[in-house]
Amino acid sequence: MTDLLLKGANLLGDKGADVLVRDGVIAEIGSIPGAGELGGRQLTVDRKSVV
Amino acid sequence: MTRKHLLSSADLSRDEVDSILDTAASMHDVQRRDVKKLPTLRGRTVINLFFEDSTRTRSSFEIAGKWMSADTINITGKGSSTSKGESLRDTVMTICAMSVDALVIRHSASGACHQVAQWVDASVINAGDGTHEHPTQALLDAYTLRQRLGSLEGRHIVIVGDLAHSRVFRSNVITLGRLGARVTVVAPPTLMPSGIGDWAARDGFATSWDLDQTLYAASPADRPDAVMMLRVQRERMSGGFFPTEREYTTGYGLTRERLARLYAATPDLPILHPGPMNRGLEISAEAADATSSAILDQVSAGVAVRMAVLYHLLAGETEAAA
Repeated sequence: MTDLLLKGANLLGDKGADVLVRDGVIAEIGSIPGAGELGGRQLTVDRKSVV
Repeated sequence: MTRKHLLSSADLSRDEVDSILDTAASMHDVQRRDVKKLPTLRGRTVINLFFEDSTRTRSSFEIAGKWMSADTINITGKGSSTSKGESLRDTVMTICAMSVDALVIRHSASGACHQVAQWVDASVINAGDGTHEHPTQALLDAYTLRQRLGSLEGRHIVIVGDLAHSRVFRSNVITLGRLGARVTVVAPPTLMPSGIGDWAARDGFATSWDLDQTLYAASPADRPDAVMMLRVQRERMSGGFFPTEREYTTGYGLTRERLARLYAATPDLPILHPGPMNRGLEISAEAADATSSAILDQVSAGVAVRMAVLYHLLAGETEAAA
């Protein structure tokens, strides 16, 4: 399963929130531990390596 | 059924689907009365929160709520504070602070309804989230097919079109599979979702790139019992998914010629389309208006099914509180 972790994204109008997208579906939004300072860049990650 | 939200077709068991469809049949009887009113949801407030355009879904949810005596209010993205930059979370928290009972939500982001369900106490009904799911559409399609075909056990349903952008297809393969139907989905390779092979193996449906081979299978047992055409969603396309509209119609449209050949074998073959239709692109006018077309039946079933969904999610609480 490939997750997409967005730091400081603007999805659902929540500016600056971290967003975890799993298989194309928003799975989590808010402050996600381990999101890192990616400055809004998109990064494909393995969720296990993030938590 | 003791469910609070309806977010995904995968949440519903076979028994729950049957229960909703049976209730919808009763609600359909109400729809045919002169006075279409039930007191079931008196005192309940249902908010239709639509951030994407809708004709059928929004109006049928509004009618369903009103016929069941709920107070229904429509809010659209353009007319709400989201157009001023308010986040979805703040919008729904604000609405729910007014003690509403249910939010019917359509949003362009896949997963938006799941997020809202985590933030609010009200029941949340997914009325379409991005390219993810549209569970009430799948229920009304199943209801329409059941009205036409009886039990769907072992029936072969062919779904054709823009699968890559279709939330209707995603919900339908789950719901029709629950009811025992065999589903084959057909699309050009560019409009097949990535990873569909694994997904088809998991959920038990077949895929094909060849519409004619699927429609006119050599074995009668493999021929379709119903055909559902899906809209080409040009508004969600960012690139060229097929060379020309004419080429798409030639390869994947339900044309007059294909309809005539289907009718030669099965004159009463149900033809479905969730709407809105691109006449002349994915479906010809002859097919849309054919005697066996179930497209307006789907619209009619939409109200009954959404009444049933509101009943199952909200009426139990009402009865418990009474």
